[in-house]
Amino acid sequence: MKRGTLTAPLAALASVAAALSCCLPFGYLLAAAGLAGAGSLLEAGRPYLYVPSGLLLVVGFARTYLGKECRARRTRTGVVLLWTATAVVLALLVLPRWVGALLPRYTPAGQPPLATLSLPEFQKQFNDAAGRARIVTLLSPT
Amino acid sequence: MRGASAIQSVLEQHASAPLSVFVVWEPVLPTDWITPTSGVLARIRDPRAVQFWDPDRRLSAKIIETRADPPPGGVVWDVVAVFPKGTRWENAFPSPVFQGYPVINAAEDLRKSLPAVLAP
Repeated sequence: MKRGTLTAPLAALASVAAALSCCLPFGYLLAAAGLAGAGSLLEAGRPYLYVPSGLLLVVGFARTYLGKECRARRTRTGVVLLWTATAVVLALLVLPRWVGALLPRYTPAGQPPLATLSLPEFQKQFNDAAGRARIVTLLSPT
Repeated sequence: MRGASAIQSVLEQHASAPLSVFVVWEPVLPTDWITPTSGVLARIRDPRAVQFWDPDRRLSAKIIETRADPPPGGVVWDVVAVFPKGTRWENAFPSPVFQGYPVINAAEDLRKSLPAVLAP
């Protein structure tokens, strides 16, 4: 592919992104919250998703409070969205166990629901199944 | 998580065997922040399995009590163990007839160990 063939669409995309970032600064905020939310579902990728979330929030704050190159007005909606997105990202970052606990956990069909391990209950279930061979495995979720 | 998939694969090869499977998820890695998601739980979809979340690694601690040498890092994880019919957990966690780790590497030996355990 010729260089010009590739650079033209890339330049167009960059231009669109720049225009959107100027006129719709809270696009950054939605992306930030979305990435952080995805991080709560995709455990292994969480650290990598929180980094762009943080960067996008920084860009959002810069656009909202420091931006001078845009003529777009700082709207109340934009500010509310900025702080809402910040609260969402911080909640997912600082309180992942609590936020994560709000998400439903479904075991595959035919299995009982996921249980928080209690040793007496586990021991009871282990012994109740003594009529069969048993496999016990301890695993990390990520 | 490849270990979980490996166990599922072994279970599929013994689909009709009279087995109970106890899957215990515990936080070990820095990325283990929250309860395993539905996607993680789906890695072991065999209906003979019961899945637990052990946020305080209580089972690991209980197993360590029975060991002369503590495992690396002080946590029992990425391990699979097989207990034959009749084995009961009374005072101490029982000794398995087979155990292996990491699970991904132990899966083949797990598969080979099962016929003897399942023999009437």
